[in-house]
Amino acid sequence: MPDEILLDVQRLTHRYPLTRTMSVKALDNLSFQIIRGEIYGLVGESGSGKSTAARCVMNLYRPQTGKILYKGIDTCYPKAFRANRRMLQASRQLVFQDSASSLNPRMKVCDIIAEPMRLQRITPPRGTLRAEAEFQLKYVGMDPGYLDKYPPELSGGQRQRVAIARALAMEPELLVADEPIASLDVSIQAQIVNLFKHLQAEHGFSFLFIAHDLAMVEFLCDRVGVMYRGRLVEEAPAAQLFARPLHPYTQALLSAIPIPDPRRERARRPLEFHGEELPPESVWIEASPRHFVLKDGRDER
Amino acid sequence: MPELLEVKHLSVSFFTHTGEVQAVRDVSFSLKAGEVLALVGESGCGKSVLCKSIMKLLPQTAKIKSGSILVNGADITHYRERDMHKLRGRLFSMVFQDPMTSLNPAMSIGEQIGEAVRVHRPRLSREALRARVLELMALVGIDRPEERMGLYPHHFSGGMRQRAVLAIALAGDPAILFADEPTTALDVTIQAQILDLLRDVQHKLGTATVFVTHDLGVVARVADRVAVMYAGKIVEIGTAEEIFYDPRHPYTWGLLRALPALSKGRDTLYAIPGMPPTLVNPPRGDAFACRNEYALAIDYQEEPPMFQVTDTHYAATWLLDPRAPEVTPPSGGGIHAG
Repeated sequence: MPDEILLDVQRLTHRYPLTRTMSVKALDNLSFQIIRGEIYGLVGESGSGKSTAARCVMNLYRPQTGKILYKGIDTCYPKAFRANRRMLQASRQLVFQDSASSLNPRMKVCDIIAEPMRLQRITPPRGTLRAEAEFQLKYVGMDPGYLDKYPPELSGGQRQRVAIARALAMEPELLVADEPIASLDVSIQAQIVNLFKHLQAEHGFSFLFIAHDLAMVEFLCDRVGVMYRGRLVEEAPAAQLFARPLHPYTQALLSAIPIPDPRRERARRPLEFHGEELPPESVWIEASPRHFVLKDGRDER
Repeated sequence: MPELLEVKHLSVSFFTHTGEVQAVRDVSFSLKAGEVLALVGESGCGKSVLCKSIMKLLPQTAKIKSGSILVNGADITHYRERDMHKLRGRLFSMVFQDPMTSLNPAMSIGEQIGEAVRVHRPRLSREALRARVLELMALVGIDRPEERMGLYPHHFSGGMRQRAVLAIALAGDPAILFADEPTTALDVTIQAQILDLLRDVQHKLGTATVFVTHDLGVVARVADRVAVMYAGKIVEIGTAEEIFYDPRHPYTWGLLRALPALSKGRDTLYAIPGMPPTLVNPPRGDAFACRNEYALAIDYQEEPPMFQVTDTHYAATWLLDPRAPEVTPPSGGGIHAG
């Protein structure tokens, strides 16, 4: 059976208007696909358009051109979106970077987790909304004693777990996480990444994981796309990308990860990438099976 | 070499409505001129409070309960605000985590650096001030400083802002620089640049640096010595080589094992079980005992003293007591030298 493509992003371009005549191109002909059940990592430095891509995928922004096909439905086309709104909103969920600002400080944990169910008018399979919230909270490894707490009473790691529980309450088919671990401590990061891995294995949802911590991406993701200035410069299975990066930007990015080993780390010089602008005539080629890279079109001739 | 900064048995508490929060508990360390000491630990372990208590930047609710802080042999523990004012910027200076909140959005970068220079040298002429600002901007690696001194923080990227903050911190030629997670808000590529810059500046000016971070990769790049903090205490201190290649405290093992770089090819990342304790009522005995798979019975009874491993390497764990059973550190708990 061929892999079913769950999400198909095609030639997406998004501009943020600055003034009437000027705009910033955040996404530039971005295309990628997510196969059902895989963890796809999107990496790149800040300002490379990772978050914009996530928000376009979740219909929070409307891209200027391009298509986003989710299960074959063009979500950017209002008519198609309206016709399938319930399904689209229930089966795609988003976890934000900063759990302090993405959870309502005036709502109790149990209400936060149950809110999407309430909004979608889903009959809770476990009887009451509270029982459902309790189940989800236990599922992400938290004690039911936290049900009546408010987000400010929780630590960063606990809040992120609540945000994940809220997203998972809907049993999504696509989970988009926009830098979910960037604001957490190392030891808590490990806990959350383990949790993601475990949940994904159990639920089998597709997962778009956005991060700038490359070490975590290497550990968690099946396939990784590297973004630079709104474009994908390289895409490959994680092991292959980290073992043999082809694009100079990917190489620079990988070389910047500090190694926790003083002697090796100090002897090392990170590579630098000075390709300010990607040449417009770049071509997307398959360097080896499933390993794609953006090559300067002029080199080919 | 004389000790530039010496902290002896320092305890700092916050008095809040929930009770006394013992943020720093009996911490002792010293810093030599020109040395980089990294303070590592999870959030809430008292790293930042320790730095701020040395600079006396803590809010009113905090109090130094005991201990002393010696700078060049002079005891500054009981200095009043007026006396501290003279030391700040000249003797020690601080770089904070988020460059956007530490810069004034309504002042140009040049003005802000100039302001810091003028505080220390009020009689400087306008030309000399300008020259000094340009010199500082060049020092921290801001290209074309003449053009950029008129720009505002929002024109700058995160890395450039952090460079500007560093220039302000260095305006008074401090002997000690406290860097509180200066690269946490930045990308890996920019982080590498800023770390190299910090090392570079530190070599040029000979500034001793206390580098607060939770990223052990960063520590490996910049630190000469490392102090690992847990629940308000330093649990292990030693040179970077000793901490990375021969760690002795189970918490340090845990931190090193939690690094994804060392979990390659494994199914799950190692995570230290549980959460750090609250510091309102720290548990009896070793605060780490309940998360420690190597905990001994005595860990729940009595706090371990600092055991000496080498001249520079100390660790507070009962495992180093001669009566303790032999324990082999877990694989990944230390990095094999080679």
